[in-house]
Amino acid sequence: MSEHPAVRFLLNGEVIETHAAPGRLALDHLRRDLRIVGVKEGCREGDCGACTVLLGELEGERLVYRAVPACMLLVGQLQGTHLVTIEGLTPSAGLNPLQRIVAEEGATQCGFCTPGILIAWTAFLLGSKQLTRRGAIKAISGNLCRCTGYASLRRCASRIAEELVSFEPPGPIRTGALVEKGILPRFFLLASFLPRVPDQLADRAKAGPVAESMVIAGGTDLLVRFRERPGEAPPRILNRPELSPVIRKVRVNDELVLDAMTTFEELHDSADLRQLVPRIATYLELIASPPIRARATLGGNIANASPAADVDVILQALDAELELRSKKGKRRLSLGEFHLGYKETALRPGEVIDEIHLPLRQRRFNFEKVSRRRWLDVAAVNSAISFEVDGDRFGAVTLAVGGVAPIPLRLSRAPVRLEGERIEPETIEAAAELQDEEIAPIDDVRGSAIYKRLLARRLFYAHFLTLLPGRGLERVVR
Amino acid sequence: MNVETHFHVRGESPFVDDLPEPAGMLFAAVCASPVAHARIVSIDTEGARSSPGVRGVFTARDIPGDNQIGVIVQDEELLASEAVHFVGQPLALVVAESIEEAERGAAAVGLELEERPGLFDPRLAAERGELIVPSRTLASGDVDAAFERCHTIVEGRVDSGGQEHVYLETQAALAIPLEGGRLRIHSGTQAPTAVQRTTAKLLALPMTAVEVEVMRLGGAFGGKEDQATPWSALAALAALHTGRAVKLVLSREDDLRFTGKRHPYSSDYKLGLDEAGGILAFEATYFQNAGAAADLSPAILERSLFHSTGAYRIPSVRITGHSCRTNLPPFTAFRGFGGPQAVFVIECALTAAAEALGLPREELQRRNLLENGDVLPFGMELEGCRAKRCVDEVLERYDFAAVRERARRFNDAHSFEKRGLSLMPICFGISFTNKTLNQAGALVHVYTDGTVQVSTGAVEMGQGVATKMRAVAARTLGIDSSRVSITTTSTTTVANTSPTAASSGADLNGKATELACQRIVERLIAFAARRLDVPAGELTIEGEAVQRSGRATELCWETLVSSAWLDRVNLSAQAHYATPRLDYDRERESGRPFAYHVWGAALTEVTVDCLRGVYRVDSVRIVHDAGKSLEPLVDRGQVEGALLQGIGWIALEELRFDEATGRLVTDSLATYKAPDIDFAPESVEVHFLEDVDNPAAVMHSKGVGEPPLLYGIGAYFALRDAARAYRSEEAWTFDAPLTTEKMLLALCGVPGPGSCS
Repeated sequence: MSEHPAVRFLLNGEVIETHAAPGRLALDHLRRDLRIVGVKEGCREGDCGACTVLLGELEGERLVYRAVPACMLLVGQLQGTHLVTIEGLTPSAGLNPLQRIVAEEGATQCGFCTPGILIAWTAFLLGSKQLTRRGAIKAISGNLCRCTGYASLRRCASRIAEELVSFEPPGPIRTGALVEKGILPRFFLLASFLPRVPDQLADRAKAGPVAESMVIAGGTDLLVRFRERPGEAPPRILNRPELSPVIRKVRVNDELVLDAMTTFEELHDSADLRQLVPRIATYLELIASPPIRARATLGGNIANASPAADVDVILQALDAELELRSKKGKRRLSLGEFHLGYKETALRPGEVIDEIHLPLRQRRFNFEKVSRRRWLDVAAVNSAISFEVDGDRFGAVTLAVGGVAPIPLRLSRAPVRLEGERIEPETIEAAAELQDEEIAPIDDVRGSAIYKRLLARRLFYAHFLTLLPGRGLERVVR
Repeated sequence: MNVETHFHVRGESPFVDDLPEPAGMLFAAVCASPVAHARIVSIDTEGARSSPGVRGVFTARDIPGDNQIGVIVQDEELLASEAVHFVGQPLALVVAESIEEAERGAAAVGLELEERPGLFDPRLAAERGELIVPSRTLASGDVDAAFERCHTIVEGRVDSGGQEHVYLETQAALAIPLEGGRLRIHSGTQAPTAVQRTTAKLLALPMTAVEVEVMRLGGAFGGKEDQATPWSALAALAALHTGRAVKLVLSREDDLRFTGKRHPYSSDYKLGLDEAGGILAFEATYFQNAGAAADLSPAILERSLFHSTGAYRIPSVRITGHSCRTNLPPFTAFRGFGGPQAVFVIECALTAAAEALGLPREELQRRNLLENGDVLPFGMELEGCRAKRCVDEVLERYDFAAVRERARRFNDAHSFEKRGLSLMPICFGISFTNKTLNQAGALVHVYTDGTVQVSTGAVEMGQGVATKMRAVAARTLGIDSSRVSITTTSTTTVANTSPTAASSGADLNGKATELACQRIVERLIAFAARRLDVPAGELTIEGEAVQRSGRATELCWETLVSSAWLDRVNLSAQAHYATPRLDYDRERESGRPFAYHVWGAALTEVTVDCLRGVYRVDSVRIVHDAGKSLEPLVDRGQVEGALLQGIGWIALEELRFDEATGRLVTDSLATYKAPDIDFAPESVEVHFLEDVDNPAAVMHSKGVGEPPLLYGIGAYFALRDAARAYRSEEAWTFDAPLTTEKMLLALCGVPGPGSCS
């Protein structure tokens, strides 16, 4: 074991120094090596929430806690963090107020999902900006429970919102208040014991990429793809460029620049992005649960190149450009040009996605997605559009559709058919015909080709019915 | 409150994979068939044996006893010897020092298989005579003559898909060698005795040499009734050969691929009614996709036959069931056990009839509801029927007429959003249809400090049976429930147990617990009568003390117990319960297979976005007959949980196998989507009938595990109701689950691709 460098982190109230492989799943390290068995293994791919743990990361001088799936976390990513499991939250005797609510409402039956749900709700109390019943329900959107039917969990959410969420002061740092309420144990106040990140590890993201080794950001896609080879070939972990509480996003020459390591949760909260995509938070809640949003990154999602990638489709409709970086330097290309074929991208060996550039402009924007399960499922078809309106005519239009081609597809002909034309059903119908010619869906687990073609057309109509209400466009749908 | 709850929320409830690992324990992984049907030419274990960390590789040849795990029909091997019949059929077991090494070892087993054509369609299998058991027909009245008299006849086809259990704890077992060649198995099973019996037979051991212990299950829902056995037996096989403890925990992926699920059914129906909408005749044929081996399929089909008429009175009936052998993993028990599939068919038939007659569906339903004294098609006369009472309470309490009117107005005002609703009455028979299984045992010890320990054959899997056993013991003994502990379920404390299944766990084991406690009470009362020198008939134990004519005596519980012990009174009792009045003749297809029925009704409201073909279930409002509930919070949880599993089955969860290869397509939780909190109805109301008794079960309670799953079926008809408000002219098929894909295709009148399995 000694060939691997030491990783030091705080596990509940105890400092752990491990020489486990940096590429080993935190889930396996906890359950199999350390026998912390309150963390349950349900699926190993981020779809059930049973292994949710609380991950505290130092951002500036502040420890920020988030619920994350232990199966989407590597030992190498634990360096200098505070990891909390149900064992760490449970008082020596009795129940804490959160546990009491879950017990009293009968919201645990077989008990297997319960630790993950309690962790998710603890993270909610620690960090949520939406301290409401709805927020409490959303906090456990990634936790599958097969026994309760969620009705009792909804009752818990009501009580949490009524009984546990008053904070004085109501600021973002609630650790002290939660310790006082008995929801967190006292060791949360001892964050100064947090093992510091060794200097040589702090700036790995900007070090030159090592050729051939797998580069991993959040890992929410890659770790699923590579679960067949556990423990092998430790991936090179990209860390945040600087452990700051704010993502690097700046306006340069009328562009919004997003770091590739920006997480989905940061996108969810981004006021700048909301200027371009007013409902971005809602879309992201549809796409991923809070623990996945805490891990998934913009760059990772783009590099994964799923043909139905929701965020990719949104970015294409915003005319995103990528800045790629390697030892040889930087280059820039459009997101559309980045996708070459099925899971094939323009990324060269040793190259990483560094930044995403979005033009700042005034356009109407809409995103549509339909999947078998409405929330947290891969789209059968998704579609994003942005356009200008000039009186009763369309201005510039950008449209991207996912799930209908080997790549997330930016359409070329349909938008051109709209540009400069009158906003009326006939125009939209004609453009829909062109979309039909441009897409080539296939039969797969997400749906039949017939269905996806039909759905793409309905979502195309949905854009205009949503963004241009009251113009009598309903009759385009027959 | 559930006795398990305290430990669950503290994260202190161990499941099999959480138990302390014995020193030297090995980890096991399964090598399974990659193809659906093949002759086994050879299995080369050399590569696996020389793989790092591997300590043993076992195939059919290493099984010392009878290589058979079939319970109803002996048609399934633990490890395939000559041929494989489904993708995921176990061929070899590899044990190693770590999970990773075991998995690599399993991947290194060399397989030479001579592939044969696979058969996946149950109708095709029936055509070719590939039947698990001879087909059965249930008939009453003169069906053909009745159809002659009908004013309206509807006919058609109904399909319902399979359903993955998605118990969050996957299949798991830990086998530990004990002295004298004995084994202890910590098993994640609903049927400890079945694991004991089958393992003993496979390993050529007496049953005394195999102890099976079950602490709790992380969900089961039927998926661990018969299909937990092989994994325990495999771990035991390796433990026997290596002399070391062996743990086998299936990964989610393996669990999904290897284990059976709810049976897909393809059915034909014909329903005839008189002018007033009264049902005169019903004919149906079920093609049950059983998969490659019998498993519990014949029993599941039998329950389908017994639920073929739903909650309705039908004088003339002819129902035929075919259990069809295909090359898919053997389908198995899942909450409802064939009942939901049959109920879906009659509800579809009734819907078709309502549409043909231009009547609201609920009107036909109400006109034909069962009543006391009605005789079911298999000759059982109904007692305590509460179908009408439940339906009437739903209509009044939740103001069905107003809800209907609101939906109509909403639909008039919206072009693309449409509301729909449905009424769903339920009638579900309680008891194992296999009479033998309707027995249970309990062992009760009272200790000298007044605490009480209860052991039964019931397995705790989240359904709260331990809580109910505690309630029964405490009430019978007249003491506070905090004095009562429930032990793990073990074959060493209670023998020859039935699986915890068929909604009967609390009924059977509760009654045995009550009987055992009564025996102890009798002895304690006799002792107290001697001590107090009063007639025993004047004494009771209530409120933790001996009471004489309603007044507490000096003998409080603790004094009573300790002094009784000093007086050499036996403070332990064992009792056995067998459900009375059960009798069914399979030759004549007639008799009384159930102790009683559970009744209820639900009103479901949905909204469909007809532009995109997506929908949400807004609310489900239920009136349920739980008898006198032993624990209302537990029963509420059962109703709410079963409801969502039912909605999931009928409207979301799509189990798909590749039509050419028989490989499971939905082989991860990324592609098999179970309901999440956002999918669950925003509002679920459950009202339990008040002032109801049930002489047929312990303390007038009722079994509650399975019946409420049927409420979920209402979602299908509510969705259809909403969708038809958008487009009513199309001939709609009956094909569940009604996924977003099927919904949009139907809304647009586009014929979809054929459904799979």
